[in-house]
Amino acid sequence: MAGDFDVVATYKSLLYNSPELSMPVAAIQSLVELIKHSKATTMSEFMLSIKDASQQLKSSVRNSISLSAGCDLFLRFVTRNSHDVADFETWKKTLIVRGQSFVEKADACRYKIADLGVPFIKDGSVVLIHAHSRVVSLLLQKAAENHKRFKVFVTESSQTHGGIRSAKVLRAAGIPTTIILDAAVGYVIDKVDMVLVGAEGVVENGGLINQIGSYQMAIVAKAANKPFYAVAESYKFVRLFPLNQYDLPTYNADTLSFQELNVDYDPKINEDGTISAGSTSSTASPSKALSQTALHMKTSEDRASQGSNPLVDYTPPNYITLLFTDLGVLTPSGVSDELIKLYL
Amino acid sequence: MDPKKKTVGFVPDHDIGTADLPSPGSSNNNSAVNSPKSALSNTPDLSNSAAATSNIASPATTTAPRSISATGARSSYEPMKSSYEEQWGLTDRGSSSSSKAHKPASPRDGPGFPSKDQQGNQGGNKKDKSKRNSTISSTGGKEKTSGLGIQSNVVNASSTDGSQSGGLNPAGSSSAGGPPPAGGAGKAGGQRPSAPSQKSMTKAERNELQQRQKAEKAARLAAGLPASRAKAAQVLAQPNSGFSPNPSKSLATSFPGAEAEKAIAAAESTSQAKKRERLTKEMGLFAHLDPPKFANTASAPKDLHPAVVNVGLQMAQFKICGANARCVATLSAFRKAIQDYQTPPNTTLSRNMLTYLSPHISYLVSCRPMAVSMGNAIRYLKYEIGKNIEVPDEDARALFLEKIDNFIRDRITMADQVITSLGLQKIQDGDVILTYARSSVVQGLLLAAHEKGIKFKVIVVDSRPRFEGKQLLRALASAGIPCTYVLLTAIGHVMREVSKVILGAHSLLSNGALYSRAGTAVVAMSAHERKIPVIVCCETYKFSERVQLDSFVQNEIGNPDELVNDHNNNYGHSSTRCHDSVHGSGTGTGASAAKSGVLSGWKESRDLKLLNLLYDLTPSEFVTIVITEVGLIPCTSVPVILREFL
Repeated sequence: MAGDFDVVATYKSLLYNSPELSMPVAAIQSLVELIKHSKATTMSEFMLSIKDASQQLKSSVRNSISLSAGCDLFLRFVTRNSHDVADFETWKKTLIVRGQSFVEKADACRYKIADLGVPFIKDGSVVLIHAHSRVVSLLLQKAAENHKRFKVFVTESSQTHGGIRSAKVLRAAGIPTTIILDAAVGYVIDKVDMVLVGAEGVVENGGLINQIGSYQMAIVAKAANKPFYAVAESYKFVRLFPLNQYDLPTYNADTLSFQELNVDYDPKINEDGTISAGSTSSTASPSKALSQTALHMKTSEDRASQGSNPLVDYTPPNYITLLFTDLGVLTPSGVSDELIKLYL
Repeated sequence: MDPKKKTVGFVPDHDIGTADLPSPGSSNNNSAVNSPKSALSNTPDLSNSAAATSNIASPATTTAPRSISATGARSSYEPMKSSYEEQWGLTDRGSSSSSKAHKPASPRDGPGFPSKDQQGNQGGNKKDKSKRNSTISSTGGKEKTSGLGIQSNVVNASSTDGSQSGGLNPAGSSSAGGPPPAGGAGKAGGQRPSAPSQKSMTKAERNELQQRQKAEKAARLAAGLPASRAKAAQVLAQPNSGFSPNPSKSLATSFPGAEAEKAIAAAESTSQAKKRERLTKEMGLFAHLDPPKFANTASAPKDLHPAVVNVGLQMAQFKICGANARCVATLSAFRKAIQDYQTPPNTTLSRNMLTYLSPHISYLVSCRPMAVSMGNAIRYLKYEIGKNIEVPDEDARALFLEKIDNFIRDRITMADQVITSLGLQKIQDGDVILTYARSSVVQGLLLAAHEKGIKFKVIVVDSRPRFEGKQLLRALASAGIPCTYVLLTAIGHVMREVSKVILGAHSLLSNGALYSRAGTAVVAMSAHERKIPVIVCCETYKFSERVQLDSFVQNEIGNPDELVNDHNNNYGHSSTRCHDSVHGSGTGTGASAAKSGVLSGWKESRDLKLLNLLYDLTPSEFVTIVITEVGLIPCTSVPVILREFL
């Protein structure tokens, strides 16, 4: 194990420094850093250190699904290439180079996906999105750049205030955006033409793991006969197969348990007037609180109900119309096809 | 016995034109006094000696031989006209009785097909035909000749008593031969001298005749008489036989030549006869499916390896059932066959192996339709044999044995272990798991979960006629797992408290559908309705490229008699279903007919048909996840696995 190198700290600083970085990519980057600093001299020691590090990363974060996806993918990549190794050092170097290129490609993923998704936004359409997803925002921005005229409803997603952040980004791009209550999804569904969400992870049967509230929207969309599209980079394909909502690794006995709420709960108001759910944690700036790390729930760590409310939910594949990925626009069963090709 | 009566009873069906046969039913009724046997049996009256004479004496008289033995003068019902019947010649008049008799008989009747009723006998037994004809002619009357014919057969039979058991006597040999309505010699009702040519009868009439004859035979058997008409007549004719005819089955009367019949019939399995008779009760919708097959030792071609014959018979009697069990048994039998195989001269082992195995495979198919698992395994074996055609003999044998062993080890044994380990991830404390019938994989998984210390309960759902779930229940309960046992009819009630459903599979199809024991679809649908996850455990070697949308296009029909008698089927038996033949379906049904009585007369009932389907199709949307040895996959990914791995 690389004793001096703290992979978790690296990971966190990476996220802190580049808010646009997604969790899995940051994880992979930290693992690449680990390789750079690795003092392992044998293959097995090396593999062990990587596995150990990824385990640390996974357990350091409360919502670790996409992070797991990234770590598993990297591990898979390393294992696959570990057989024809002539010289250990050169191999490490190749790994580092490949890892870096992966990180760079990962960023480009989003643009690829945005290009794929733009044709689905038609002039005059109304899009409903959920909380804040960088890929979705990018896609909509691209659509706006292509001179499409459309409107957006975004759910507030009160715990993480992702909706507010989304609205900011989209309004800056000139897209008329309305923030709606999470509870008003059913109310607006008949006014929208499609629903678009991001993803924390895509599971083996093509189902979606995303921020809490996505499943609800999927059900409402299905009931209202509106298409439900998910946008996910391929490194978010995770080797999980939940049977139902409660079969996720993020589920524990505390979730949805009847705990006594903190009596003096009171949302903190930040300096700029935005409501942030308590930012006294390590995340210093409000923007940090609202960035992807919000999903780490650091922002609500001081909430009494922190442990007992789920952060993510699982949307079964039959509610999802299509998935926009960098591998193409896939149906949920096509995801399984890709995963099998990738992993098996 | 009054010859007239005999003949009447003997050839009730197609001797429409016969004065002697006012009507099949009536004639039979008349003869009932003498012998309540169902099938027309030759009465001892017709002297056997007469038989020796003219062979084809009464070809004209013999109406087209019915492959199915005439059941006698039972009240006939309008049989379903199906292409099946036509295909198998059940309704054709046939040019020559013998050929006719053979044709219809063969597909349905396994070897040792008990003497069909006279009709069948007429055509069936080629050897007997001449005798029959001779006897027939000798007697002079249409019906009488038939009796005589039978008589002659009986004579032969008795003379070759020793060989009877082997079905080697003239009559018996026919049975061994299969198609000929071997049945008793008497059976060879072949030529009913007095019977008008079957051509002159309408299809309905022919069917009626057939049904009557079958009913007669069934009645005979039910009454405890030997299957053949002749023998039955003999039994009845004996004053001190103490035989009390079953009044409900007033069928064929005594028939000349009964003794001969009896002797011959002894060689036949009476249960076979019964089964044959029931086969005409075909459903139009399922006419494209193979009828239930009944194999017995006599029907196996002689040059098969005994291990394969063994497996075939065990499968036919459902002593081995379940896709994995059947596949492993088949492969083990083939292994033995290959091990014992002596290469004939002028060929090598690998070159000849396929030719050697083919009849074995056909025999297994004739015992019971091929399971997908077996089919895939055999295909793999054939592929390996074909691939190694150049390998020298000593190496080839060892190679093939090794391939078989590896297949069983990798695709079945190890696969099951991987499935168990993957499945353990999906079972948590507090689960209430519902399972249906008995799957070996599911059983292994549940036992492993219990061993691991997970606290869960199991609900075993079971159904008639097989009650396979009992075996699973036994295994789980003895391991200490808290179990509940319900029948499928209670599924709606128990599903409320279920958290997961775990099912086994016969096969998974390329459209993601699950082909499994009949009743699975109901369970899956109930679970889906309540958003309960349905887990299917299936090894990849059971995947099939077939696409199927419903349970009708492909299925397996089981013995309809399994549905009839509760006592036979679910009483104190081992959980593996005991085939009727074990008890002698005739006696069994007959004995219990008196007790159960509800469906026992179904064959005679005009509009009643029993359908016993073994499998059904569960659409892919009801299946949540499939656990295979390559991982957890959605059922729609079956073609992907087939493409990538197989």
